[in-house]
Amino acid sequence: MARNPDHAMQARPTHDERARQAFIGAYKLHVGRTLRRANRAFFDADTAPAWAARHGHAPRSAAEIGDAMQADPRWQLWSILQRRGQELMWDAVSETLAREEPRLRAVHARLTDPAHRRGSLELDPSVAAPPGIRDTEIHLQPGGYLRDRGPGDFLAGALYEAGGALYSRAQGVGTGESKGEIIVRFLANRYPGFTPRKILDLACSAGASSTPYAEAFPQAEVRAIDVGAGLLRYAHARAEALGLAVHFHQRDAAATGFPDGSFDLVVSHNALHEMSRETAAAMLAECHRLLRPGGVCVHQDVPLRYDQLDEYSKFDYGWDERYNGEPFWSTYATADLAAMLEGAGFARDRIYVGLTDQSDRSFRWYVACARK
Amino acid sequence: MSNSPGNADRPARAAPPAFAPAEPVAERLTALFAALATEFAVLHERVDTLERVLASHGAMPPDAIESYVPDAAAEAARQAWRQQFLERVFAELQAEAQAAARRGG
Repeated sequence: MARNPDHAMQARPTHDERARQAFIGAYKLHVGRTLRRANRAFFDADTAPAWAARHGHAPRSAAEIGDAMQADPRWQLWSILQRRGQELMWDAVSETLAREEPRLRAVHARLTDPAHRRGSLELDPSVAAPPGIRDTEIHLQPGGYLRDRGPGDFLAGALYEAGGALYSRAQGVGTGESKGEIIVRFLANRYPGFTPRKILDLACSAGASSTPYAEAFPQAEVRAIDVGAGLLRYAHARAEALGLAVHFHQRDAAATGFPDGSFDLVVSHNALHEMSRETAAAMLAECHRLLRPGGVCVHQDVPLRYDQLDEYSKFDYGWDERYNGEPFWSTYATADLAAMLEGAGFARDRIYVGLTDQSDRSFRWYVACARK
Repeated sequence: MSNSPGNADRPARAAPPAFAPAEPVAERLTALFAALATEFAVLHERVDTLERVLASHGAMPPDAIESYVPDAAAEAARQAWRQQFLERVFAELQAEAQAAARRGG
């Protein structure tokens, strides 16, 4: 299968909706990449020299660079356009989903009918969401990950997948391989012969990284958890639409409630960067508790590492933390994941933290992995 | 700030940060421009689709567009479209007006 496979739970855009989404994707790439580079050119050419003339030294720290740039009208204009692109993206996919909702509700009911379904869904409204998730519209997604308009509501998951697909297509991330498939390939290379029978995907959101494990390991029992009911309802129907058995539970990745040693493989995808340091540490400790001896945990995320960036880039990446609903961007980018895995109980010589390529080389992901 | 059609049940969006606090008008015009550019691109693509489909069917003589005169029903439909278009382009301001109307009781 591929990244963003077509399935029955997707909204079908009209001609104009498709054109609008395609344009917004192109707009986001143009503003977010091409025009963003212009900011650096402006900074080097005159923003930094002008700031230096006033302060007696060049702006050195990310804070000083921010002080200089935020007063520059060109950066202000770029920021308005950048923020607006994200809002337009959500407006565009929201519109298609709102129009398609009656049809998709019927599809959802058919796919999750207990008489035919392969997987399952267990909701628990008493589950508390961690900080950040409960008080932030992550990526400015309307209503946030916890949006829940009542029984049967899957909008949070539908928005997550539709917005994410538009975004990653526009960013040029290859569609040949999903994030789950990348980790399946990573595991085969690193642990030849490792065939997990019990698999858990933590903080699974819309479940796009849960289903690749059910496909790659058809004999395995695959479970996936998240705190958002609207995400999970969508994830379950999405998995059923792909004909794959995944059992979804509304649970907290930092305290899952599953028994000790009950999994061979525990994974998370793009989850660490949405967690506070405390939540991430608790999740890694939970991985150690949940794995049987010889079991493996793998956490895949974006390759953002502040220790490899200059101060201008730290200021620049900080834009998403300040203005694009990424409350833990710098928390993640400065985390020593190897030390955190060791702190969670894993032996140092059984930890791997590094980069792994998407098969088409279109993107390189960060992986933190340990074997119990 | 905007609230595009079909989005009525979405939660209120937080006000975007003030990137250019000294120039609030320019800030908002920029946001309007981005929505307008999007709709311009949608329209362009629809016309492009239409012309390509018609050409591929041999259905449109060269002067068909210049010689076309809309009848009353077509004109009414166009008027309705213009209204919807304006609502979309000015959604940012409309949302604020609606919020003010709600506050005003």
